[in-house]
Amino acid sequence: MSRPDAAGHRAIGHTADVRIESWGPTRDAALAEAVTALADSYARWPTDAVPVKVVVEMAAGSDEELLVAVLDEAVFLADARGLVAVAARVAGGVATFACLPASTVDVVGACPKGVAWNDLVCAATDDGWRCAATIDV
Amino acid sequence: MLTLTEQTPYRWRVERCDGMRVPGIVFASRRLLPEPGDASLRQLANVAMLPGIVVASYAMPDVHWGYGFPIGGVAATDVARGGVGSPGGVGFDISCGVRLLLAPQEHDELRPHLGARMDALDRAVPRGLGTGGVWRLSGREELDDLLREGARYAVRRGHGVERDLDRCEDGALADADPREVSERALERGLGQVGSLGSGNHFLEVQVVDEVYDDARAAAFGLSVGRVCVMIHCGSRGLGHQVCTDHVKRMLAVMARYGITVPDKQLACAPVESAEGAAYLAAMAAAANYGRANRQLLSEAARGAWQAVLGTRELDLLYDVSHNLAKIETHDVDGRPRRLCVHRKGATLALPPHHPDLPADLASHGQPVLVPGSMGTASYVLSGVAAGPAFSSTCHGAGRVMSRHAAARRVDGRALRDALQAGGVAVRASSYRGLAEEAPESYKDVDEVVLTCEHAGLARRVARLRPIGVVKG
Repeated sequence: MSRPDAAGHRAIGHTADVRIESWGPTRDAALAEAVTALADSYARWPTDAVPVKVVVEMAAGSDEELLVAVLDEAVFLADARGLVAVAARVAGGVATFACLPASTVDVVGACPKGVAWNDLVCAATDDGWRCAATIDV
Repeated sequence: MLTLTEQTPYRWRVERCDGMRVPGIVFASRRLLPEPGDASLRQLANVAMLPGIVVASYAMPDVHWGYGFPIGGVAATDVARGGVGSPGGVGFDISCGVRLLLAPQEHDELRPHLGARMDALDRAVPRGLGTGGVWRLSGREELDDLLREGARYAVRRGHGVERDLDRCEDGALADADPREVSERALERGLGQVGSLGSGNHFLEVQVVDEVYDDARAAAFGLSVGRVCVMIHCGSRGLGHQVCTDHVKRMLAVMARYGITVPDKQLACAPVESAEGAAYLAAMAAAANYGRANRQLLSEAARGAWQAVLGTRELDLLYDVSHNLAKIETHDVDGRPRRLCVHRKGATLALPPHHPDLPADLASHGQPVLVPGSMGTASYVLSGVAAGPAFSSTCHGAGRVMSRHAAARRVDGRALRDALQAGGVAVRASSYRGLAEEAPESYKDVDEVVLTCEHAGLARRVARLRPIGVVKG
């Protein structure tokens, strides 16, 4: 699939809950965009909000495993710590999540609970990288 | 290429191909067959490739595209012959299920109090993102007790009455071992006992709308006009984390057992392996959490009832899961076999006189609770003898439209107004969340349950109509 150099994301229709897709010029950019795609699937937040940073070392081997690890961490932060990761930076196997307290975001959809391995994508394309994942809510 | 053959108007066969060890069987009317673009038949075929699977890979009438297993799938593996256990065959929300509480009141008696009652439920039921439940546990030790004993522990601590336990599918799952539940799962679970979550979970006030089987309805306490409370939810973040952790663990060891699967979400290990046993022990702990969660929400509903009507009387008819794997004995080729029966979006439906049924229900079969969509109906069915899919039936209406599409097509505020105009009081966390659950997102639940009856999976007992909805 061809995508422009800029990073971006979207939601895709799937009857098993929620499917998200992201893309970017590099793997780490597409992974970071996937975190925003996840947040965008269920929350809205003020653009001027000041996030807190949460830094997590990712234990993952393959690109797909890294995608699951990054999204799982974002799910965990929201579900257990009440922190909605609205953006991220991924570099060198370390993810830095920009998080807003759940009390400061507007929850507009079903909240994510798990990341499925079915049809998981984290792969290079002709002009960048693409990620896609199905999220259980 | 899958070949679908009509065996009866309500039963279709997917012929074996591409590594399938058994055929697929779909219980559906022609109209309920999966639509083009829905990958559930491919997923049904993938499940048929699991080591040790016996007889067939089954799809219930509400089947739809899931991940790994189709949602509405049933598969049994022969434990003694290398049969596998698969976390994906249970799903993320372990022991997601339904309980139905019966109120002493008739609809007419409650009508003047509906708004106040819904406001009380709205305040009493924690839901939405993250932490916050009815019951704040003191710490890990208490959570361990709850994971071992489930609803029994909740009742022992004063959250319910002994009769509640008699009407839970199987009391508590005895093989639960909290040591197989990770720290992350425990952290997610600690603050969520007695919470609804979001998505398709709900607490509804319903009225018995129609009775199809007078004798069974009377035995179940269902009469036209009687008010009920239906609770649909599961094991919250803890159950999801257990699934996540054990899929990962099984992916790492499958090669050691010579197992390959066409979809990583079907990751599995022999039931009798260390990894298989660990998963089933953790799954049982999560299932107990799910039952305790529904127990606490029952108590929250009773509290809201008391606040408005001065009585806590809400008697549990039954509590049953639709995401679970259980070790059961069934006849296969004329011989009893010990099977690991996975029900992913499918409900146990024990036949009359099954030893696991409470004595006062034994001659009628197990009550099967089928939640429909808002604004339509839910059903109470009963298990029947000689059910063709290891005593299983549907679990709901079955989704046909994605959340994404529903949110784009449906205006949540207009939906709420339409429901209220139709006599359904709505208390929702968000308008978009409400839109995602719009009735048109689902199959026709009336046709789904009628198909179950025609296919010999279960018998219709009563139809329930919602009059109040609390949505996560």
